[in-house]
Formats: sequence, C-alpha cells, structure tokens
Amino acid sequence: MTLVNLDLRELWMSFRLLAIVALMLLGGVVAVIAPALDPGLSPLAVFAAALTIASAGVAGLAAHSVSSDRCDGAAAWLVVRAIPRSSLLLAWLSALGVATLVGLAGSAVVVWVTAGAAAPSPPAYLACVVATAAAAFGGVVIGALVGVLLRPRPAAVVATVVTLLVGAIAWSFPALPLPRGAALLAMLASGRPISEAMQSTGVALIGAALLAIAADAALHRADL
Amino acid sequence: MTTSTPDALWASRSVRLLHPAAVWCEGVRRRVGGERLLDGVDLAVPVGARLLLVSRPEASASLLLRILAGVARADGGRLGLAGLSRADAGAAGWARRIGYVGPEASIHGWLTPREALSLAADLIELAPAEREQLINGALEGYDLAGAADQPIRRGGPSVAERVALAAAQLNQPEVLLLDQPLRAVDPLQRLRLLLGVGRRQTVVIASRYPAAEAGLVNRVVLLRDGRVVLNAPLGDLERAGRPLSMSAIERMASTSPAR
Repeated sequence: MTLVNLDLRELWMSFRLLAIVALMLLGGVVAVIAPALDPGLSPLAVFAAALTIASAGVAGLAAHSVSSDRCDGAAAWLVVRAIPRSSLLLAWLSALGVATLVGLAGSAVVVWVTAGAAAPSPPAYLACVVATAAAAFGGVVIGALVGVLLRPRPAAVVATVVTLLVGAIAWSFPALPLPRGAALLAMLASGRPISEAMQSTGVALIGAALLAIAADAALHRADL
Repeated sequence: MTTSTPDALWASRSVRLLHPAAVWCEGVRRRVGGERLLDGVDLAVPVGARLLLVSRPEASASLLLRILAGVARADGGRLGLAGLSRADAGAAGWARRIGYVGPEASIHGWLTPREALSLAADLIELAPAEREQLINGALEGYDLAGAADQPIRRGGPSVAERVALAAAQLNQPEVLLLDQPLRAVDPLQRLRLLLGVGRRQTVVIASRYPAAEAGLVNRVVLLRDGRVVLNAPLGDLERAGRPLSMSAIERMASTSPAR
C-alpha cells in the first residue's frame, strides 16, 4: 500500500491523476452533449468511440508515468531499499488502474443517468462497462510495458498510438480475438451483449496479464 | 542504532587479521552503446575500507557502483556484498544491508525531507520505537531541520543530496556506495557530512574529482578500459609524495600493478 499511495500522490502532484479521470469523464460528457447537438447520433455509440480514444490517452499517460519514474531515479531510489522491481510495477498498475476505474465509473453513471428511457438493460450495460474497464486496463498495461522500454515522451506517443490501433482493429474486425471493450457499448442493442462482454473481458484480462509479465521481465532487465 | 553487523564481529580479531571482503566482484562485464565500460572487473574491498573508485572513461566507476547497488545490470560476472550473493536479494538480504546514493537515484521532489526519511524508514521496516528518533536525528545531523517540512525541490540539489545520504544512512547499512556524493553541497559541509559516515561501514566512493575526496578514503582503485589497473592503499600514494589527483593515480598505476 505504501507504494500505491506514493504512486497515487505522484499522479496527483504531476496532474496526471486529474488528466486520467478527466479523460474518462470526458467520454461520458461527450456522449451526453453530442447527441443533443445531432439527434442522429446514438449516445452509446458516441460513448464507445470517446472511451476508445480516452483509453488510448490513458495508456499514454501510464507510459509517461512509468517511464518518468524510471528515468527520474525514483524507481532506483526504491529498488536500493529492498523493493522488488515487480512490486514497483504492481504499484503503478494499481494506481493507474484505480484512477482509470474512477473516471470510467463516473462517466458510465453520467451516461446511464442521462439516457433516461433509452437506457439499456442494467446487466447488459454493466457487463459492457466492465468489458470496457478491462480493455482500458489492458491499455494501461501496454503503457506500462512501453514506459519500461522507452523515455517518457516517446513512450507516451507509442503507447497512445498502439492502444488506439488495437482499439480500432478490435472495433473494425469483431471476429478477431481482441478485447472489444468500448466497442461493445455501441452494439448494446444487438446480439448477446452479456456473453460478448464477458468474452471480451476475459480476452482483455488475459492480454493484460501477458503484457504485465512482459513488462515485468523488461523491468528486471532495465537499468534504473 | 540499527546495524546488521554485530559489534562483536567488528571487534573480532578475525576481521582485523583476515580482512574479509565486504564487496567483491569477479569478471563483471558491461557494454554500453558499443563501448565496453566494464571488461572483467575483479575487485575485493575489505571490510571497513573507505575506497575511492576512479576510472577512465569516467562512466565506468559509476556504472560499477550502480551494478553493485542493483540498479543496473551486468552482462556477466559474479558479485557480492556484505557476505551475500545476488541470489539473496530481498527484504532481509542484500538490499537491506547496502546503501546507495547516486545522481540517478532520487526520490520525488514534491516530498519533504521528513516525508522522504519517513518513507525510507517504512521501506526498511525500522522499529517504531527508534523510527522517529532516527528521523529527527538524521534531519539534525544532515542540516535539514530548517527545511524538514518543505518540498525537497524547493531546497534545490543541495537539500536533495543531503536527504539522499540521510535516507541511505538511516539504518547504517554495512556497505555504503556513494556515486559522486554531495556535489552540490558546500565543500566544508560536504567534508563534515561524509566524515560523519559511520566508522563501522565499508564505503566505496566513485568520484571524478579525486582531490575532493582527500581525507575521506584510505584506498584507491583505478579502472582503465574496464579493468582494475590499480588497487592500493592511499598510503602508497602519500609515501610517493603524490597528491590525491587523477594524474597521480594514473602515474602510480603505471608503476605498480593491481593487487
């Protein structure tokens, strides 16, 4: 907990905590405002697109955070105090995950409350939001992996682009075994959303676990 | 004061007679950007020594310290500190018994010195009874009391360096690795703080300015092209009437082999 607190404070002091929460909340706000301006737009489709973009931004911020920690010497300061490198990574993933979840939960509530009569069934909506959270966490892990390998700015750019690409491919090719996450929100009205969301959540979590293992291996080989 | 080496061991005749190595490495190699900065370094630093580590190129000494501290990796070779090998790394082992202060290892600047020391105390699991006493003692001892509750970055590099040394010294580790320590601190204050480093510690100082370490060390090692070319007591340099400078150390290396 000491490390998670430290990382949350670092996110707060560097304004990244606000940025992450704001990015995710912005997805909800856009989903509320855009259909009001253009009635032809579906709030859930806008929400899905906005969250896909927000998740890529969060991945970039995650990459910047992890890379800054490594390059600024804070990680080295902790490692010479008997802190295992795996614990550093776990703490960062926890802190970034919490921030992402808080933002996503807020925006999901905003969209739900403003949907009124058009609101989808609660279980299906919840399942899709969980799938979106899992996919967003996958983006955070992509950010962590890239942050371990690159310096802050390139890491932020690469993580954002890679996460955006994965999101776009998952959106465009539903048959591929990729976490569809937010894309599912756009298709809530059709198909079997709960089973698809559970499948997407599973794929996202497995992918995140594999990426986390890769990030851990990379961090163990990295100079701090 | 917490120390992982019992007083009885320091007082024993075996330490004085056998000079066991507190730091040792064999065949440590590391290539950086195509340049082999460490090319099979063999080194043993006796318990209680205060070693000055200098190198050509200058980055080699810092890199060796970073490898010893566990923040950089070696391409090959074996090493050990405080009687432990790398396999003992963990909360109760290796990392608990060494301290490292280097330009690349610094805690967040928004922490205050008191918070940084408190964090260091938490991480090394100091007993609650001695925790506050040690933190307050460190704040006083390293002239940080006046800046104890304002962010480290507001105090500038001098405060950051003193906090780093104070945090490393909280539990008086057996081996203290200092990479270009206290460069931003006033020279007199620097000398006083470094002279205050515990007597019952093995200290390795990597420095690019050997003259600044006069009075702080009793042994000198020169790495040239990644290998140890001189490992001698400082007395040898003094007996030859040479000052503690890079050129004098290099001249001495050309006349006396590594031992």
